[in-house]
Amino acid sequence: MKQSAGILMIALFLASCETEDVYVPEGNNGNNPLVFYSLTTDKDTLRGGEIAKITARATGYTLSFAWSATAGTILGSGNEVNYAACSCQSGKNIITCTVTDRSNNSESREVSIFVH
Amino acid sequence: MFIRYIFIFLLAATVFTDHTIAQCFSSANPVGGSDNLLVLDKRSLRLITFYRYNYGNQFYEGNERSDFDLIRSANYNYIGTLIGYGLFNKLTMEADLGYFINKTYTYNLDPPYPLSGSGFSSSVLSVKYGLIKNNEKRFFISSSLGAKIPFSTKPVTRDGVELPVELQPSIGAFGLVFQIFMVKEKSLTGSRYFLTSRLDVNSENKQEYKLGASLFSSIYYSKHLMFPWLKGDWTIILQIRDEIRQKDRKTTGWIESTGSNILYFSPQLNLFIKEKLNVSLMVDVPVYKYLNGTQLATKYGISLNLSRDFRL
Repeated sequence: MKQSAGILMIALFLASCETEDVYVPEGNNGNNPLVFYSLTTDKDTLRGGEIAKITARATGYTLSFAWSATAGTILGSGNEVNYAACSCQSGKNIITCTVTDRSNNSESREVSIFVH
Repeated sequence: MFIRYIFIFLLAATVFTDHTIAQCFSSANPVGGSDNLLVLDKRSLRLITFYRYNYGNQFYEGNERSDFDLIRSANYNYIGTLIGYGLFNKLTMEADLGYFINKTYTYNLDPPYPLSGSGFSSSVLSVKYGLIKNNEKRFFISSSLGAKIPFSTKPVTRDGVELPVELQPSIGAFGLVFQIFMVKEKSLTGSRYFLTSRLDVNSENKQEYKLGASLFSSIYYSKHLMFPWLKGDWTIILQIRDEIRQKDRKTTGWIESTGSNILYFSPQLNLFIKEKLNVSLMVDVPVYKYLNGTQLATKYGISLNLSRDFRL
């Protein structure tokens, strides 16, 4: 008897939950569009072999970060990486970060580091 | 007997040609070693499989040790296959394919940070022609021309990060390979002398990066070991090899810390099993290095080769 009452109560509870159809505009999460705020480095000048921290600030829905550099090496992954300057190319080295959200919207930014 | 010794040399030559990571320890001209010495008989198939390990942990500036220590150590493991087919008695077709199991740099951070790439290196398809074949004087010359074909023109990435050039399995560019081989045999003493030269020229890849041209030249001395106490069919091969690499280039200009001249001493021991299978072990030791700028140098390399001929 008690068991039946319990089951009945659960059934009534579930029936009373309201579901709402939420419209998500095609191309992004309606509440969290992709915004790439900034790409910054803690050092804008390096000697070969030195390391700088590079931070990407972005908001959006399920973001992924892709990194590349014209010279040197990106160490790590995600929104914050280390950049190791190589001795192979002095001058302005450009680091590029591309942020992509779940809907495949993407945005890129660059930051320069001078290597001598 | 002679063909077998050419075979042994083939093993020696195959692996020396650079699987080193560019420009010294990086991916410069990761050639597949298409050094199938001389031409094969018509309808003969030659199959070679090899493994190579390379290690380095010291930077050089010019010919002196550097205190630059961004990278603690570097190594790679590479496996490759070379297939040769005798189309006619003076013409052989060759295909050279390989795969980097890993190319790893360990960066000197706290804690140490390893970064690895892997993948197929460029293949080389070539045609070899027998220029001179003097059986009486036991003197032979052949030459080959080949095309270097990248497996992919897209750089390899790991966790969203594009790997540096040095850790790419292939530079992703096309190129040409020209080789010449000379062999002189002294049958009475069971010894042979070989002289080879290989020129690689590369095009620019999609990232506008162009590997410098390279010229590898080698002198070999091969001696069949004929001691009464020695069981099996053993040969020792001593190689001195000079590798000259031009600097790499981008549209912005020459890339510093690329380009080098390195002299190697590479002893090799070969065992011919049941007149069918060749097993060979080779060690690469650089005896002189001159590296432009600051570069990570190879400390040593080890190769193991298996090869066999088939008559079709």
